[in-house]
Amino acid sequence: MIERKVLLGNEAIAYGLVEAGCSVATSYPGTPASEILDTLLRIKNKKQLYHLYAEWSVNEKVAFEIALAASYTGLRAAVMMKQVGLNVASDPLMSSAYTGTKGGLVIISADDPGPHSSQTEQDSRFFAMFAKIPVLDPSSPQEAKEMVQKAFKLSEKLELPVMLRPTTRICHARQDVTLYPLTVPQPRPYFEKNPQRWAATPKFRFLLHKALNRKIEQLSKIEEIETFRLLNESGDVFKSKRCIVSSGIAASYACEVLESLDLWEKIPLFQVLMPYPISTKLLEVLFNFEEVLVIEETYPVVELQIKNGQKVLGRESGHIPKEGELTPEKVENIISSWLGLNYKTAVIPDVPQRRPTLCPGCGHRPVFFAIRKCFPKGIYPSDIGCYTLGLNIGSVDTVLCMGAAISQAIGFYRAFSLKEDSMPPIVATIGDSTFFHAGIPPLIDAVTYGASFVLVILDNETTAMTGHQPTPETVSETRKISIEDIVKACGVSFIEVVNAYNLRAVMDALKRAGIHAFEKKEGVAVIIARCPCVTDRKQKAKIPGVKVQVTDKCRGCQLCVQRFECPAIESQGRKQPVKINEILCVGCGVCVEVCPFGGLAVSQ
Amino acid sequence: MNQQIVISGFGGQGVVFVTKLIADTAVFKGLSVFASETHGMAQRGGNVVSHVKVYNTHSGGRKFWSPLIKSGNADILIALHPESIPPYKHLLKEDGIIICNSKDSKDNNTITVDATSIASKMGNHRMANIILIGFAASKGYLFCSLDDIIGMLKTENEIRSQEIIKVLETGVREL
Repeated sequence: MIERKVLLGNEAIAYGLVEAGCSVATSYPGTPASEILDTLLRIKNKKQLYHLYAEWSVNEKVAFEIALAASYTGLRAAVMMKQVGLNVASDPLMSSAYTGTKGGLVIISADDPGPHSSQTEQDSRFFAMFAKIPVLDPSSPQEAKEMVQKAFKLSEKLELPVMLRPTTRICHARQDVTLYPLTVPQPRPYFEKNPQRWAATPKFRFLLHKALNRKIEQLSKIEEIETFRLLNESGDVFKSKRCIVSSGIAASYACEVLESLDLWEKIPLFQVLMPYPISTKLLEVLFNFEEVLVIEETYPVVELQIKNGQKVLGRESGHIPKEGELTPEKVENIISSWLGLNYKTAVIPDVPQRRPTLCPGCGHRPVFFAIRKCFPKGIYPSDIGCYTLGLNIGSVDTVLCMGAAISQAIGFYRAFSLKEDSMPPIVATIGDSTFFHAGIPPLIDAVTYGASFVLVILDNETTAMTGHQPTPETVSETRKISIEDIVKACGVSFIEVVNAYNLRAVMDALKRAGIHAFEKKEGVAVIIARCPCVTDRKQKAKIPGVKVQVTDKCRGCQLCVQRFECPAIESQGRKQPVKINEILCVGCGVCVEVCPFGGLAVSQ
Repeated sequence: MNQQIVISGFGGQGVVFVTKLIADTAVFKGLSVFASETHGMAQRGGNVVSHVKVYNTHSGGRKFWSPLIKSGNADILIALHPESIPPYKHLLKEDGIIICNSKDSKDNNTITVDATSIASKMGNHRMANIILIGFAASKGYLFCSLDDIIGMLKTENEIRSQEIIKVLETGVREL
């Protein structure tokens, strides 16, 4: 039965995977990709798809290698992640292009132009080009779903991994999408041994590289699947000497802009469905135009492959901004100024926006408050997750990439240890999921070479920022991986576990850790500050649920507003008593301990 | 009919939830829909915005291609908080309508409803988003009526849908 349903782009991709009979799917959460595996797990449970294995892997590299090996056995497999996750999985990615695949393997790497929720605006399509694998670039949720099917077919035809590259505006767009009956695969895994391919030595790698180059050449000439299309085959477009080439969501904006500027029947608009390798046929078509404007996100992947350079306008020629997300307004300005139209530019006001903050009752907040209070002159390397927002409290100095808090703490320690008496207290913070993902190797390094700093593992027993995906500690009732045991096994001699809501206990633990790491210089001291995420419905709330009131001792000093930064405490101006927003307050009661004057109290 | 709707508020107020609600109602009515929402870091207490574009492919109306509303094209802005109006006001047409969840009703250009108080009286202040959307639908500002939303929810057959129907029936009908 064919059904129409409003789906998020990521949900549409998940349905695409199920309809295509994907057998093994792996992922690590990251915005904007997280809802793909979330949805897949939901469909699996609801429809009882026993022939689909899906997991939240410990990191993207592991996820990639699991899916790849499943593909070696002839099954359809998929791995999904955000764009910076692909950096983590880049090692197997590069190599898998050489070995190739058996069953279809689709790599879904979601880019984040803007960026809205990422460290970089990197373009995964360049990664596809770097690895020499084809990449498909959807312009809507519906198209993303269709491209999953296409990607599997392409992958099986060429025995190559195929990348699907949605962007935030696809992943987090909703559209009414067509659903088809699910294919229930009957997996018959079979691994045909072939060491010259699956375990190739450099001599054979040369041959695999040669074969890979042949596949890419074949792909650029492929005709069985559509790799580009002319979107507006009407009116006078065939007379035009100028055209637009676009891909991804930018092609959708370009459609609406051409319509609103009354150019739909005048300027041809080509959509590139497969940006790499670019179709040789498209290159031939474009050769006949006097000017080609290329509109794509975020890097000039299509643009740089069009060889008649002087006629190509885009990022290299300064016609398209080199950074930031393309919006309908930007595309309108680009097209109208290119054509010399006298068009009134939309002015978007620069209204100051509220900055993101940790949620009211978040267990990370007291820890950050305590770190700054105990070690005011410290250096605070931190990591990727909700707790990056500890920077509002002044307890986060660096954020680089997953796991870097610990390695950077080592780096700061090594740099300052080269000059006697200059060593600041170094206090690193990392979340539980990030610790499992990439925090363990640097912790081993720290212990191996005797770096001495304090590491606080902020354990809210979930992957919170991306929508509460499980961690190795929580995924299974019977096989819980204990963070304490891992830290101990890494050789750390100072380990303390505290309840993050107990501010005094956190401060006392930090002081003891400071004596161990900074005064005695006895190596890394690890504190595990535990407190379930307040917004996670799956966890039992351990919130005391007290009612906090402002007493007449409040001097309006703003310490609780600025240093503790709870959204439920509202400033009424300097020297004015603060106000508790009772709708936002969850009643954790930690702020009562924060005020040195007794200005906040638990009402009886 | 074609309609372009902006829904704004703070993270946690349920902007994404009502976006889904009216997008589902559009399809329930046989219309096509595009919507765009905010996830991830920006959801943590910051401003959150959704765009919803509803269109009818059967009546020969204009098709939408993308999920984003271009500046100056929105028919209506539904704000779950007064502070969530200024950052998105530019999206509205000149004659666009603003409906806001607020205790104040000073601004003549804004239709205000104290949805938080109504929801609190009903025992759950988190339902303010439902009250506000229900109000917009019942007063004819949206492509759909209150009965359309309720009709859609009835097809879902979920406990949560029953709760929302109750809020719409009792909290909105009297407004």
